[in-house]
Amino acid sequence: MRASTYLSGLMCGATLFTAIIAGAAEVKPVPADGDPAIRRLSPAQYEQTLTDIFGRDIKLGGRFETEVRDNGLFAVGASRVSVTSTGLQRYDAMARNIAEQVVDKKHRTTLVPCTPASLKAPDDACARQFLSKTGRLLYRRPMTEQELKIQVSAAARSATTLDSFYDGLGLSLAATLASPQFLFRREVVEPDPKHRGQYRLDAYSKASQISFMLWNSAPDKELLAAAESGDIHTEAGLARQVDRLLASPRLEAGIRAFFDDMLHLDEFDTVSKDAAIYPKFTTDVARDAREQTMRTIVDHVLTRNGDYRDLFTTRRTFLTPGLGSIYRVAVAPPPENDSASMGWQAYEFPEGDLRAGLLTQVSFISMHSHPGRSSPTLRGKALREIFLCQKVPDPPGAVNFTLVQDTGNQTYKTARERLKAHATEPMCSGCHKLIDPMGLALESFDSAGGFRTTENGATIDTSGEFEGKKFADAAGLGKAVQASPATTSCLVNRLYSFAVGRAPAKDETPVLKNLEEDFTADGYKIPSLLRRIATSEALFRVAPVQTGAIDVPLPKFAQINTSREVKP
Amino acid sequence: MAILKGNNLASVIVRRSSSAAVVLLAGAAFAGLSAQGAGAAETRSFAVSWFYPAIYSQADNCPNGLNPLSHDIFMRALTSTGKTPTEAEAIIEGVVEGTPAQRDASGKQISERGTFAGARVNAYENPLTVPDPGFTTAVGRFAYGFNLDGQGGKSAKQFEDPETHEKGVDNGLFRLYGCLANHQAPPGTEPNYPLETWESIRDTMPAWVLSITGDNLSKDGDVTVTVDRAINNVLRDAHGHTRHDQTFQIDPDPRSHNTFKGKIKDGMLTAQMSKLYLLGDQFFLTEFDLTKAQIRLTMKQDGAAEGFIGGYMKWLPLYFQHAGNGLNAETFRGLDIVGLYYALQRLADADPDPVTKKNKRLSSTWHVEIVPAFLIPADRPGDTQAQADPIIQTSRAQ
Repeated sequence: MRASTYLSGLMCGATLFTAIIAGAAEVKPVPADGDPAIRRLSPAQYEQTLTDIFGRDIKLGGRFETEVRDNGLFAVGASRVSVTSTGLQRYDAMARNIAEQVVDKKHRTTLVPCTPASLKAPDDACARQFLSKTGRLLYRRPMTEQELKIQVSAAARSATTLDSFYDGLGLSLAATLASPQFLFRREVVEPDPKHRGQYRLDAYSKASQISFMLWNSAPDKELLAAAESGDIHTEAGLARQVDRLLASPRLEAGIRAFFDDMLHLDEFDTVSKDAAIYPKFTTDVARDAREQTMRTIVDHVLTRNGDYRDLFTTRRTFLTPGLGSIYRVAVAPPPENDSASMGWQAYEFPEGDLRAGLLTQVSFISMHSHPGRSSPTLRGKALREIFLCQKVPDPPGAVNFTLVQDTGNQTYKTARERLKAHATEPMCSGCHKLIDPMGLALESFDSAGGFRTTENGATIDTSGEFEGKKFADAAGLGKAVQASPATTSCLVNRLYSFAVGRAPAKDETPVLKNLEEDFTADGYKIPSLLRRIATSEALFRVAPVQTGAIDVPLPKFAQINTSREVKP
Repeated sequence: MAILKGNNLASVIVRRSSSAAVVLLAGAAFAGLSAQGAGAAETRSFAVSWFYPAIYSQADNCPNGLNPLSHDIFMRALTSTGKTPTEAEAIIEGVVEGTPAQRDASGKQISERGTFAGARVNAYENPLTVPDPGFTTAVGRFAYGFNLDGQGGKSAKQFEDPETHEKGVDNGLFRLYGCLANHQAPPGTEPNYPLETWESIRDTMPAWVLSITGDNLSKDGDVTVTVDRAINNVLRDAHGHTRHDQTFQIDPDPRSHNTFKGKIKDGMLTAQMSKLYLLGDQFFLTEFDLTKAQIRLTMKQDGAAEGFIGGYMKWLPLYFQHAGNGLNAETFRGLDIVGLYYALQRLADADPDPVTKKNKRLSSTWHVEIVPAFLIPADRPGDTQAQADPIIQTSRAQ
């Protein structure tokens, strides 16, 4: 594609995009006052949206911008990130690649809803039909007439220059795919007719809010239709759409996105183990370990509609042959040409087994360990921060870790003994008291997740206490976490944050409390909680608009720190 | 899919099967891992991670030197067909450095050095059409193995095992390979050629697997051993070695199913069987066929085991393993294929043909290493429920 022609197609969204980029250095934390914040699509959302629109046959490829986790979630950090110049080039390259595939001979007959009068000349009517239909799905709202005119005009100019209707169309599609209107979720507010003087998300923003929350993707045609008709603003209409989304198989994508984010499973991409010590921990095992946890969660909270708390005690999971070698479980290799199971098999650890719950799975164990040794401290810290939403301070500087790292120490043979000696240092003891008892319960598992009973010939003591409850081992720890009120309140907090894209504001405490009560009443079922959040006014709540904001459609470049656009 | 008792051959096999009375006994003699209550069977199973001729190279094995390498093999072969040394050098150079066409032409002259009815024929396919070029075989006192014929140490052809010091060890296979340059392996090392070959085939060859069942594998006592072929190949771990605790499906082909009695004493498994047969691999031994087989395995701390399998093997499949590579084997591995054939004929020491009176089998000893594995039946399509190691489960629970 020719850059000059292509760039002209970008003009539609250039102002805002430039503003976003220019303002990158100025981006400030979004105030916790309920303001909606502009959110960059996550890599998964980008891929899911395009797959939903163009089908799995279109290969996406490319590398995405680094995500930033805030308040425990990428979904919250997405409102604090921008696009670097390098990132823009990557989005541009991906957009061109995708667009070329969409309009190529193989796909155009199914993806372009019309046939041009000539293959070598512009056809504004056909271009408009395609761009209007596709742009509505990509922008998650109808394109404005101005946006559409620009893209149709760009397609025509390109077609003339390139002597190809489809090449011209592809350029305009690429411009759309690389535009901020697609890459950023930008919420629009409007006066709330039910509450005079207050504002709410407009219908299309509302549709995006629930679609990305439940499907991790853009709204489909039906949801956009409900937005267009205003049906989504009615209680019944909203409930109808939410129930439809909840009943869809695509809900799994939303569940996966949330838990992948909450559990920090992205960090698994950088997990490595010392092959000399943990030879079973191969790249395929690492990949499968992450998926094992996902499958366990999806099966438990979605397929079985189970109690969320039981994720910490469940013995049901799924294994591959590679994981079987770590868990020491017989897992039959998949038959040739097995596309259905992809090698995954259901498995339930027997009653009494220490492998119970997410905390004892290879993903959690190995991700929160060092490459050559386990780490009760990292595991305990991760447990508190990820599942209990408790912040554990980083270790102070100038701490001597020599003893803790000396895994061959014959005086302090076990991690418990080494940590006990290490924690006599006053600056360390406070945090270690908080996190070590939980981490030490997981010492039955080495850095790669393998089971063990001894270290340096000494029997490993896995007993501990959490919130006044004593336990003997990892399974007991799981039960203690299962029973903790902090476990469920943390989940509610995280899921709500995931949905609204920001940390809950202080004045939203009652909302969270109500959701926690509802969660309890519903038997701690995730789909029920999703429905509660998706149908609550809180999800679409907008903080009071500041004086003068209505009169300023777009702030100056360096002042952009919120996406709020207000319809008069 | 239920975990089955390992001593029922029809129902094949498991990693370990036991009663709930299993307890953990660190340092136990055989397994170093587990023991169980009296009366309950315990099975442990393994996959073969290394399998090749047992070599125990000593300085006095080849008093007249090692066998020649490729250049000398070719020179000898070509001059024996009437080529002058200069012509032979040109042909050899063509094999090594020629164009593809020259390589083909030169290779043909080397491989077709046999003569039959006045015509040149492929010597690898027809070794008897070439006079015996000579092949140096090993002598010496020591070789790994077993006294297969029970005749003690009276014969000059018999060795002493360097580990057990059993006399009268029959190991013609060591004699065959002992004076090849790339088969030299002093104690504690592995011969280069077999290592290279095994490394290249084990990623695709259906694995050979083994199970041991006894009342208590941590103590001395009688056991039942099975040796089978799986339908899966071994996988590598992050270190490039054979992965421990991999799951294998047993090939239902009854030809590769072997059962025999053995015993454990002082942490060592020994067993004897009249016959051991395994289907092999097209790039390795196409079949592994032993008579009067014996096995000796010592368990290691990590649950793996190492030792030897010996017996009389059919030597013709061994010949074709090498002859199939023909010119390449001679070029890159310095193995005179025709010389090998005649040496095999000379060294064969069992199973005489009733008509020709020539022995069809060669005494052999194979170094074998095995790693812990799970074994499950292969003939249960659709039954994909995974199963855990019961011993691990129980010890975890305790």
